[in-house]
Amino acid sequence: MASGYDVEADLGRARSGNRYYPEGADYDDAARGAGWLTFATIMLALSGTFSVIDGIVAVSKSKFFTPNAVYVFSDLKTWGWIVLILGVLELVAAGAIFGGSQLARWFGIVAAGLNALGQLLFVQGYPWWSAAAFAVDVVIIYALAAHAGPRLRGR
Amino acid sequence: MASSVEPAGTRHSPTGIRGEDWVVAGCAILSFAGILNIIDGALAIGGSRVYTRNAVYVFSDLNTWGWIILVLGVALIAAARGVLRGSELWRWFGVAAASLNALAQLLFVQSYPLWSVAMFALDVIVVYALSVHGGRKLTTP
Repeated sequence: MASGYDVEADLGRARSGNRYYPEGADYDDAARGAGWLTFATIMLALSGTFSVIDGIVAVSKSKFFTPNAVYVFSDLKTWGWIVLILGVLELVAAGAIFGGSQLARWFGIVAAGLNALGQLLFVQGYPWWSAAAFAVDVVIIYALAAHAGPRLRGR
Repeated sequence: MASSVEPAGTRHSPTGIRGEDWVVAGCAILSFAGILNIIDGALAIGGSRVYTRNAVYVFSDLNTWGWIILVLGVALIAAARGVLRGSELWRWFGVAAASLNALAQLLFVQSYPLWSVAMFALDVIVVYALSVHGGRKLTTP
């Protein structure tokens, strides 16, 4: 970390929406994690929205999914509800990260991890969808685990 | 070579690529994706046989989705031009357009899975470039 870097002031500027980085900052934005945090939040919102749609379609329009697919357990409707709830969880995580706490970061990691697991077990329903959602979840975990730490430290 | 143009003490991101380069790459991908989207949409509106026959969509049909994809393609190209001008607003417009396209491509995936998944991947790269690397350089002092 650069010495003399004022996290509080920087976060205040970020929240005010006027400026993301303090005057004189170079191209080391990625190291500070602010951009990564934004990226993770957008991806959480994207993955969450998608999982909610995925779940709604699974519950209401079964014709869309592979007919007679064999699931690890239970049926399409149950999986639809599971994925729907996981999607809502991700959306809540995306909102919580705006609050900027270390807890929200871990909550986001857990939500993305659970969704990755849920999507993989649901892969028989519609492989392309599950694989895409799974990939995004892994990216979210990477962004939050590897880059969001310094940004939220001590909060 | 680059060091002669950069002011002394310029630091680079951990990837070794300057944030600005990522933004330029993001704009290039945005225009490329926009062109592909317009082709994709036009083909779908024309009911091209490129697409899976009798595909079941989340809602509506191939024609509707063609229009959605076409409009998003225009938005992507507009975003590519706008982001290069460097305002924070255009940057967020780019992020929003790429995110919406990512979502739409996933919902349109039945028509032509490989095409949609490729477009989805491009959109994620754009969101990465603009949100992780676009912050510093684009704010006007």
